[in-house]
Amino acid sequence: MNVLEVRDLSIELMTTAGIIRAVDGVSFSIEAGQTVTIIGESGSGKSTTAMGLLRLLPEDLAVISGHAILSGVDVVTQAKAFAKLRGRAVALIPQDAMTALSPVHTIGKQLGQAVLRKGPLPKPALRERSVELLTQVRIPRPEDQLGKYPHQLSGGMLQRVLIAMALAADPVLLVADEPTSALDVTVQAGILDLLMELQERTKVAILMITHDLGVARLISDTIHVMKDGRFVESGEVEQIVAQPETDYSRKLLAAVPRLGRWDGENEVVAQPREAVDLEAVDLEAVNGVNP
Amino acid sequence: MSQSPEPDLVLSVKNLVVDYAVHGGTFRAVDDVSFDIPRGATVAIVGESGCGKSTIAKAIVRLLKPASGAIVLNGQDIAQMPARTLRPLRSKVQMVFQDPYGSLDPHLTAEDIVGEPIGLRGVRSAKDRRAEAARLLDQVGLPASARGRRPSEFSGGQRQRIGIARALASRPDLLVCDEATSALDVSVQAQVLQLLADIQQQSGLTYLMISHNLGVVRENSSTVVVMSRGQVVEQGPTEQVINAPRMPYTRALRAAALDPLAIVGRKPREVVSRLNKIEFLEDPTLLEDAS
Repeated sequence: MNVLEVRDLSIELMTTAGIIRAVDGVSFSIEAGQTVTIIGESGSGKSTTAMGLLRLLPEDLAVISGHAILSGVDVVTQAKAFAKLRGRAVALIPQDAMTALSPVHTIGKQLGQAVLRKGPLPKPALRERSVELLTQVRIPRPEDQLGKYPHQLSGGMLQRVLIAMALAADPVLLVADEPTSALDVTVQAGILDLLMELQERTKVAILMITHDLGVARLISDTIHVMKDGRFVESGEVEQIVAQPETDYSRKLLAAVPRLGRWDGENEVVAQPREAVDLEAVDLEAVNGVNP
Repeated sequence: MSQSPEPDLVLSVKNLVVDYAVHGGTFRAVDDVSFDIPRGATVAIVGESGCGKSTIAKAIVRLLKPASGAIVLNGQDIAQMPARTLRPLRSKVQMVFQDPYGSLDPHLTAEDIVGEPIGLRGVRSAKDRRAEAARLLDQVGLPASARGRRPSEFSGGQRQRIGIARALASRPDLLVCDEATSALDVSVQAQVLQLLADIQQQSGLTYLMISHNLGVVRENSSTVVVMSRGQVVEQGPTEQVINAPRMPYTRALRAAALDPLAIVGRKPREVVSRLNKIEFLEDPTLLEDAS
């Protein structure tokens, strides 16, 4: 049973340089309990796809076409009905935890608002539910955190608060837009582990947007490699990483610095990386020089 | 007496301490750090946000004055050297900055940016300066058409190439690369790292590479210094430190660094949950943000 079904989605953006087709006819679906990842470099259209699916792009500057069915509602054609699903059936985990929260309201207040999207609750029950959510995302001493302001928490803890807010209304789909890109690797590991644990327990579907092949390999079931608004390659995670079929995917993998396998004590396997062929594809041209 | 001849060191950092003034006191950002950089080698400093790695870079180029300790450049201690004496030595250590968008003067053309340090070196004729700038821009792989263009007309990777050409223009003995490729897409990062390796092979230039990326460090350095909270946790030959890390912190970094080709199976949580066993991560002070 698909939680999200996207067919031939295109998004055109109006910019000062003219109209750009940022997303060019992509189709994919996500089942409950599955993580589908869109991976790509800057300007590939991966974040535009995510923001378009959440209808978070400015309506007057972005033209969306195609179909995207979530909980029986077409995100593209039924904007009003979809507005009721956002923050409920589907929630966003944004990249920059520091700016995603209001600096002048407490964690408890902001988390409470997310909980209330599901329906009214008396104060004690609201507090209880908030504590429960913070416990779920493994924030220590949750009661103490409710009265704090965002600047009093570290980036990793704020990201956990945002995950708690996203989970507040029991969504069927989480859209995670580079949720760990701004974090240190040890903090990132904790967040990824948390997302995997929550998914095991609640069967929430995750649409992950990332530029990091390591992150994609770890948490995905399916990967779509995006470039210039299109999926250049799609498939199961093991197959895409072990046997990429297109030149672009191969190049992307070849560019990742190798660390080899490690058993927690010693190196297990260290394979040297193939030399990057700098001439074959002009990736800088692909990524675009600012006009 | 040592049996082996004295190694030829470009730089030797001894018991370096750097303090920042914070409201009503000092914060010790670098605490008793020592390491050597042999001529022609690449030494890397790896660590997470706030570990003091960039502060060391700034102290070495003397953008900061250390509280104590020695920074011995080509046999001369520059740690407390007054500005006038220091001035002729400054050209010997050059820096490539992290932010390709903020580190180039937007008003100047690529040729002017690279030409400026050539002028400071005493090349008086504008024609000679232009010829030398053209040669350097060519060396870093930019086309002749790039010479008259300004920073806004270049991609991130191309800007880093201009930054490298500018640094080379002073004919330095040591190039400090402070997260020089962190802001770049992975494919562009690979190209810029390849360029740095080519330059070293041709000219024997010495590098100090500051990075948070263990994979980048592994593929590009011979010696690594692992830092946490202002102190050196572990240092030694890169392969040894990364393949068989001795200290818990280094092991945590190693466990958290995701190499896509080293991950086995679908959504293997043990890859990151191994981290939870490492006791320092449960340090409650990590909850509070130091910044």
